[in-house]
Amino acid sequence: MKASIAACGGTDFVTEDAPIQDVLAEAARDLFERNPAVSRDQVDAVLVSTNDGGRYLSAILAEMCGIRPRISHTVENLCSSGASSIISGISYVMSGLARSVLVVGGDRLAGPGRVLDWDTARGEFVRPIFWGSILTSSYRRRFGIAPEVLAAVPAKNYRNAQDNPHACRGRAYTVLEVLESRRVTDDLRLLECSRTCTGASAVLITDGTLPGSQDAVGVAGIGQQTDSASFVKSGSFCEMPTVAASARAAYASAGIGPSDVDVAEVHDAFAVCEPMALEALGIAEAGRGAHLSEEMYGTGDRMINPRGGIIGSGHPLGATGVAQTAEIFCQLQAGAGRRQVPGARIGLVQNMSAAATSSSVIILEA
Amino acid sequence: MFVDDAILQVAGCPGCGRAMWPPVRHCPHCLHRTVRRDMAGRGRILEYAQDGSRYLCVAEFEGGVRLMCALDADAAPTVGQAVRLERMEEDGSGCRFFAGVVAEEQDDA
Repeated sequence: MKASIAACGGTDFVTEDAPIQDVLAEAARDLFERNPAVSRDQVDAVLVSTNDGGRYLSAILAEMCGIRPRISHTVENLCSSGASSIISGISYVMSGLARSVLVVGGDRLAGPGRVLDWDTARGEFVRPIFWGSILTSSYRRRFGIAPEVLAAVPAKNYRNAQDNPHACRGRAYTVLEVLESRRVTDDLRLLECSRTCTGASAVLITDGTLPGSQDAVGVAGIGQQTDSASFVKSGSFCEMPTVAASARAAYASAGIGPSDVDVAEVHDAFAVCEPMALEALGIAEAGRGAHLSEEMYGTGDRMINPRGGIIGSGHPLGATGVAQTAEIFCQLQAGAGRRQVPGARIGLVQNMSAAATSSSVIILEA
Repeated sequence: MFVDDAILQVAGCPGCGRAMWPPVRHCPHCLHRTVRRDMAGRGRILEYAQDGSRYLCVAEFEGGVRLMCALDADAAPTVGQAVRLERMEEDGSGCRFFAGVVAEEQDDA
């Protein structure tokens, strides 16, 4: 059994708080409104990805959308809840347990999901900016990366986000503006950090046989790897072993290699995460990821993070992996408007949690 | 309470000798029931960053315990440099760890 992405929808990513069930329902409503051929009666499963902690949210969402699914539950996996939920949905379809799965991921600005309380080995440094600082310090020192090279990553992604109507938009920022933004730590400027916000995204996964599936984009490969829950147990602070492992599995199941990827959404929680992910994915050589992003900033190439990534779009944790997948779906349908990467046929989603202690990769093919 | 002055009480495995933080009931390596034990506070810096006038580091201590510590250092530290866990503070929100760089002549870790 094959699985395909057949439709997508989503809310704007905003800095106002809202009840999580309303945010999720708005994304689902947008999906059905934009895809009138998709019947809610077809939906066999409703999966919610969120860190909000609310109870019974998948059943609440199903009720709010007038769906009576056979399967419904919530998936929580920190920042990669979205991709984890989609992979669960793919598994339901490929196993034959469901023909059509609605996945809705969302979180809200004031949600509780940003700090992993269990990880007491972080001491007082519980906020993500501190692991972001350690990775940045390690990567820059290991590969001799100048601050202005790394600052091109957010500059590129803020610029790309200007063409994303859902982005938690401010404006585009230059490399100089990134470098002159408020110092968060000695290794991080404010504009090099993603920000949490309120928002939700939705995709519909089907077996390709239902009405509304004629333009579906196939799932070609998936891969996942979890090494630990603790940041300090990372095998490397300038590489991402879980991303490399999940990419290897996804490439193997798709029968492709990194050079076949036309467009990718990668998890740029902090500026340094994009080049580290590109290197782990095999899209850039070790130590060359930041230079590749800088080059794309110079040429306007949108191959990496065409919707603006997490830094440009905002990071409602449970929505991120779903929004990344929705973007690649649009790209492979040639429906991304001004963000479109010409001729994109194969796209990749990379979504991770807690400094890449775990990672998921999804490969889609037109 | 796992913190007593400058002694960190970690979970120790009687089977394989490893130490764990956060404390866990069973050793993740050999699944033996763990016991509390004091951790010797000597270790080495795995990575570091700077936050204003202070440094923070990830350091590995005896038994393989890794902690993020505020680091008392006059100059920029180096990866591999010897450190000592000097102080812990515990409040309702968790532990805070403070390490100091060990002078070279004292470094017998």
